[in-house]
Amino acid sequence: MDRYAAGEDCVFGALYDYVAPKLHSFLLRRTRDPSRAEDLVQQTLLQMHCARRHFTPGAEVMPWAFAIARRLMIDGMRRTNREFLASNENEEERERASSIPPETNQGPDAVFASKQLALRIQAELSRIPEAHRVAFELVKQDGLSMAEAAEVLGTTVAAVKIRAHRTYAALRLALGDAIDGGLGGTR
Amino acid sequence: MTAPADMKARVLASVRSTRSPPRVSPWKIAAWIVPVAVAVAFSLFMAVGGFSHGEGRPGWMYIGPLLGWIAVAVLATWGAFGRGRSAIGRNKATLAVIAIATPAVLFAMMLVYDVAFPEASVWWPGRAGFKCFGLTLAMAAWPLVGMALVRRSSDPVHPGATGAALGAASGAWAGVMVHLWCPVSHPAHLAIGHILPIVVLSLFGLFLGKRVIALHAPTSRA
Repeated sequence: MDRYAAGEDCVFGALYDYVAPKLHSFLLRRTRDPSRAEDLVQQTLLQMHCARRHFTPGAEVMPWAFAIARRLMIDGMRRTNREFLASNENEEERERASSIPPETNQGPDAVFASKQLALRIQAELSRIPEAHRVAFELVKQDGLSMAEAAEVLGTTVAAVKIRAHRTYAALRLALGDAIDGGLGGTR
Repeated sequence: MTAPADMKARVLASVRSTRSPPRVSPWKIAAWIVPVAVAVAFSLFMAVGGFSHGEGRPGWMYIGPLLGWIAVAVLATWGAFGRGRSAIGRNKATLAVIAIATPAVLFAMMLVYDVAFPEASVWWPGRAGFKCFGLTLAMAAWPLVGMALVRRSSDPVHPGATGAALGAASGAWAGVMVHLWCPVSHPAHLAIGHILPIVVLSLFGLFLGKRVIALHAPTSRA
């Protein structure tokens, strides 16, 4: 991103390859709508292009990209007055949103069990307050560090730690020890 | 689920068709805003009487508080305008502290100064502080708008807090000039004429941040 911000237009393809898959995964999980997620990824990358003159030299690109994506998603949600986290989403969309890769060495029962667990985690997460859930997802599911998640959310590292821990504790209370295996799979 | 393969071509095409200038250091842009803001503030300062308006004060009445105001203004500007090593900027709590603490610290500093030098804090009849209030707002509006324009469409997370902190910083700089102009140091006068405008500027910055500094979704689809 540093080179792109400095004016090297030819590196945008590489920037796309680095950023887009993670953004797509994040937005798909948040919106539960593949076409909406695609649209937001495109908007985010276009905004990154338009705002490249503001990119701080040496800064990490992922927190910036996630922050822009989140802002666009919230703006879109406000504009259309649409409920993104509909509680009555269908099973198929839930499965698509879940990023558990089916492991080839697992039997059908194990795959089914892990998918069921992922669905339970998603259901429990939907009951947790937005600020706590997003902090948890950024750290546990999108692989951001605490500091990067704090940047995305515009808060302190301590606040992110507390939110993520409270979410984890709530999930553990609801799902027991199974949560550890489930989170390992959704990462 | 991965991003669709054809999306990359679409994004690259839309990026190619949208012009976007490369990065210029915001401090370089600020290098022309600062002289303009200083020139405007100094013109206003001279138009209302300049240094002669507050002359007659002993040197320590100028220098002590002046250094304090400058120190707070420098710190507030560094905190509000700088971003550290992040592309997003400082977190919301830090920006809120800058916006709230700047007027609070300045007021506390002046109260300490009044306690230390009670002869400086006499009440001047008819000098409630409204002229200082107006002068601070008139001087600070320029750098505030300038800094907001430099940061235009750049903050996806907390533009309001950024704007509020910038408002406090520009208010502190205007306060430096107003201190040179105004000889009154009574607590009520300070509160109305010197501190309240910084609070007002923070609130204006909050509004300006949400309107100008915020990075929003385009109104039409990309």
